[in-house]
Amino acid sequence: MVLITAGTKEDCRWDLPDDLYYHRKDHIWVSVEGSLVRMGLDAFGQWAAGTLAQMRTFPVGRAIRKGHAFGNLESGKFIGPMRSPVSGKIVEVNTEVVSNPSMVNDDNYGNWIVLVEPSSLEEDLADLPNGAAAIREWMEAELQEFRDKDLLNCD
Amino acid sequence: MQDCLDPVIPALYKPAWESARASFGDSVFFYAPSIKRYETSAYQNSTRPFFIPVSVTGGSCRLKCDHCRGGILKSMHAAASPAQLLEIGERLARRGGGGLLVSGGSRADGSVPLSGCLDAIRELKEMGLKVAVHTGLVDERLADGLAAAGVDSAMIDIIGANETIKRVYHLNASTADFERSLALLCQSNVKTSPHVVLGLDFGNISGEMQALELISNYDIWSLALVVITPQPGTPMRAVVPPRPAELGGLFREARALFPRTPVLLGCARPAGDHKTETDALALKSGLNGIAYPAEGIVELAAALGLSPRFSEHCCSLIFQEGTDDRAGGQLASC
Repeated sequence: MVLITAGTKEDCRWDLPDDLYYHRKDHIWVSVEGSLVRMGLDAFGQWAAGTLAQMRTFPVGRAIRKGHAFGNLESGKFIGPMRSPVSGKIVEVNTEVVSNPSMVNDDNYGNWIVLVEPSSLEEDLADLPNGAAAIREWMEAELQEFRDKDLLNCD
Repeated sequence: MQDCLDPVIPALYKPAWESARASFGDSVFFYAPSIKRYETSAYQNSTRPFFIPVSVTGGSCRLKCDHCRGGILKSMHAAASPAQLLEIGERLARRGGGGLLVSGGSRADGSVPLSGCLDAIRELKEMGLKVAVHTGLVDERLADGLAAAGVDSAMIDIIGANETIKRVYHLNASTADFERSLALLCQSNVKTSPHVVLGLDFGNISGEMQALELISNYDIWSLALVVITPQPGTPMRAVVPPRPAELGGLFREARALFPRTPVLLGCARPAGDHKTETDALALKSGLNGIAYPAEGIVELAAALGLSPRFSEHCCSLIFQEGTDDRAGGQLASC
């Protein structure tokens, strides 16, 4: 587990498990489980989005492409797409979370969003941060970008 | 759901639609200030802050109204002093930002402690920033001070039922106090943009029409309608908001009461299908603008023959549209 912190506010502490892979900008985590991958919103992503109010995903059976939307999200601070870190086909949607998305705010790793059968997993994972060092390096750059844009609001 | 996106004006909505076209032509404005990152198939706002909300009380609010409990303040930039407010504004101006919403929690008497910030607001204006303020209840001195500071817009929530003021705001005040504040702002020549929260009384419609009628007696610059949105951790977390059709009725009434004043659907309203239906009815009622429109709404506007325009400013500033080319944002490439 990698713990990232910023500023003095209590909620500016984000756990990022080092065995997961991450979409660098949309903060979607990927857990490789045999021949499938499970995806959800990482701790920083749910913090940046605020309270999740509405979530939609493509249906089971729909093909999705790396870097393209697999659904969309509306929250206190965000309205927009959730982009997939991998290509493949949606094989299961966590309907409980989709119908009550603030569950992600309560437990963002337990409350996954979709299960995907990947089509080019090795290639897709190659540029995603994974492991403590890579996650820390990625998040430090991400925090700096948020600071530069005055979006961190942690003091 | 799909029906609401059909580009057809129902008979009930035709008078409102035609009134809007007669007064305002075919323009409709869509707003996406930096309170939220916004990205739909039609429009995305800039990734850098452009128009930001700032709370002069940080996260604290004495009123703790039942619909918010101060939660909305937490997503704002905190300015604990006028110097901090200036610092935030200077940083924003340096980065090419356009303006600020100066807000804050209320004191127990329903006022927002803005009087200490008036000099800072004047300086923000001198930097070329637009400044909208959430006033709460005002006295004559604050109304005059806001005018002298040159605020671009004063936003004040108007409540039309005494029971709602007591039940939801827990405030020892009456509709007459809200009217007095509105009158003072108008008398001081502050460009005032009242807000009415539809369904504020735990989702029930009670007093909204009275609020609209009260406001219609004053020379306002724009009117924003917002919809009660259940917030986790508040006594209203499970309320059922008014149905889109009920909201559509209020939109039509507002259009009729304000035939030549811009009427907008503001930032707050429930998400999902409810939002799509509400936004579609806002367009069909001839409202002048919508903040953070649902997916498909910009396309609906175009299909209805309207000319969509986009801005990252606060929607209450609609009366300034066309006077500023620093609108930010970009049309989506698709």
